[in-house]
Amino acid sequence: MIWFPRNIPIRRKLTLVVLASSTAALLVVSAALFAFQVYTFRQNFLHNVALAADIISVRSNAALEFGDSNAAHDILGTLKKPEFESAWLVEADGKVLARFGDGDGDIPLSEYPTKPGYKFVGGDLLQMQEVWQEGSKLGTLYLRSDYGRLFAAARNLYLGTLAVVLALSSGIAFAISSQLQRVISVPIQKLAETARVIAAKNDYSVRAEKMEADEIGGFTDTFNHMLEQIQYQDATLQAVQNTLERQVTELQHEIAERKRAEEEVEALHNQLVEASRHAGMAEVATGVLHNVGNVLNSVNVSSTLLADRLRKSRASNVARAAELLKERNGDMAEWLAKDERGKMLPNYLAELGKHLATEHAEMTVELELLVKNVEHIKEIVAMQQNYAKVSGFTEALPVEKLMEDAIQMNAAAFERHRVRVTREYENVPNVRVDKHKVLQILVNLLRNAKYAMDSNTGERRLDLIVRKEGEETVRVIVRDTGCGIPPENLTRIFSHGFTTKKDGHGFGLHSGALAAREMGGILTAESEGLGCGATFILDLPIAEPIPT
Amino acid sequence: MSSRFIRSCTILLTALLVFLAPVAWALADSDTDGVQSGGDYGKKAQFIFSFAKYVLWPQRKLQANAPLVIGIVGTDPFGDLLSEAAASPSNGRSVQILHVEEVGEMRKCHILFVSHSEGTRIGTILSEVRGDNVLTVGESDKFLAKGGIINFVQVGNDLKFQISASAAKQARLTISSNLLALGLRSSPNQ
Repeated sequence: MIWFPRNIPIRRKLTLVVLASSTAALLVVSAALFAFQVYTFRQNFLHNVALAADIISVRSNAALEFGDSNAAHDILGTLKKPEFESAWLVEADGKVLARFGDGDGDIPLSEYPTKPGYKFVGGDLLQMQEVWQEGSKLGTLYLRSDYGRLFAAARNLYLGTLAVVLALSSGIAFAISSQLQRVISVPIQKLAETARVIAAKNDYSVRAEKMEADEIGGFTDTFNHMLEQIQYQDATLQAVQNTLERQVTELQHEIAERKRAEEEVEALHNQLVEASRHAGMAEVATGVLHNVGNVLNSVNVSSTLLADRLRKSRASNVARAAELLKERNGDMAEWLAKDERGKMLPNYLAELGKHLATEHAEMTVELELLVKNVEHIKEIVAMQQNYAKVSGFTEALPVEKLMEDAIQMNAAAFERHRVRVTREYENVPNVRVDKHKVLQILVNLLRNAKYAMDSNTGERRLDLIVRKEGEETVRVIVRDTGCGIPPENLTRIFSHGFTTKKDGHGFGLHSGALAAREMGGILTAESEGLGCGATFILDLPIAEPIPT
Repeated sequence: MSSRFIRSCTILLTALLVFLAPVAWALADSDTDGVQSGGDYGKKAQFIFSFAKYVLWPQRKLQANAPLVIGIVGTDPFGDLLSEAAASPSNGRSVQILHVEEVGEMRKCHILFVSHSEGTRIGTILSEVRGDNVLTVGESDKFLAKGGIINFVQVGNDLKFQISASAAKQARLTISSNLLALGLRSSPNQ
């Protein structure tokens, strides 16, 4: 394929095509003409020289015959044409009868052809012609002509002429083609313009103008037909689009509604989570109250004891003895010495004093116990208050401490139900947690464990293990010897509302799992099945990641 | 190569010379006064033979294969020269030398050499053969003036000749323009 500029307007392409073809044709013709001219020039030159030699030889026969050098010279003198450089007329005996030319660039006669004819030496054409008359050779004509110079001149003239002709004809071809290309380019441009208008305005009602009944005209018809179809399809599409837009609007409404519903659900869920947290807190609170109640028992016992002692106290007897002494005021000594009762009074007082001292000591002990118990209640309440503070921020805490607090909150229950607690704490780094949430989880786990072991007739053992798991986690394991979890419930126990307790609400493990996840940890459960006990595993993130 | 062809080829180039021929001849006529007659008869004999090559006789006068008759009127200055020349016939045509004795013989000749000896009778001789297609060749001063066709002239060492085209025309002889061109028109020495 011939190289051709692709990205130019059609009218230029057409002009170029015409120009290229016409120029190519012109070039071929010019080349042929040039070759022909060169050939013709050479033939003409040879012919002219041969003719001149013929004429000279024919005309010079008499001069040679009669040895008339003047006449011979005159005859040679007729060769005053630019191409003839020199000429010699030589008689049959070799004597030069006449010569012509200024002698410049003469070539020895020995160089000339030895037989009649011509040959080229350099740029010169050497012609040899014999002169005969009535069957006898009279002499020889030698003719030298400057072919090279004349050929160069003629060639330059031809080339110049061809160049001018080429330029002129190219110009004319350009002028004609730039006019004629409109026949093709104008309809195409109009078509393109129409297409542009359609593309710009999206107006498919525009129709291209058909100019001629040629291929472009046919194309225009097809184009218009396509436009009709597009217009129809556009209208259809528009209708569909309108329908779709309406549906989209409806859908958007629906989506908005659903979103609102989702938000409501979310809010409800949050409420539930909050409720579960409250429930968890309530469990903590229950534990606290339980502990407080236990201590309050002791307080009650102590205070009843103290009240009983005080009621039975013999302190009033001192007042009665004092009354007796007051009645005997004046004869005190006599009464003390003689009266039976008087004689007993000092002993009685001594006895009373001793008794009161004992009573005082006992009551003091009891009061100390009371104070201690009240102090214990204060501690429990303070711990509860510690956990009841606003939650939501995390801090680095030792997980064993949290575990101990959780145990403390259930200590009374464990004691009551004879649960043996074993601890297996490794030395682990602090965890980054919300302590309320962890406590809530642990209290819940411990309570669940205790509850699971309620029906146990055998050993009730609770293993609490804390150890490091990997580089970034501390694992807390709560393992009981309770009723266990059937496999089908292993995944359900963490779902919201699931419970096996009669009075359970199903928030405990659910909110515990959520809380663990919020802190970047995880709460999982394992059980071999019913009667095999259960293990709950709480993984918590280490506070300060070990630098690598 | 026919004379027609030669003429057609050279007509343009020789027109000027042909046109100037009478003038040249007139000039030559006056310039050759005192030119010595006689001279180199060997050359003259050769020339006379050569003239035959450049002259065309009418068909009826010179038939094909017929011998060329060269007549000599008066004293024969050639001796054997002419016979020797005749021994090598040109163009296959034989040559017959005729020493003219009577008027009738003159008319048979194709070329008639009028010897210098016939000085006074030249006019008579020429008028006898006029119209008989005879190429008259002389060597006298007034030969052409008296109606002769070719007249030998000695210019220095060179033998030249004068030609009267009109006389040739009268004799209905066609003379090659090349020969005509050699006809003396002016003295080369001047």
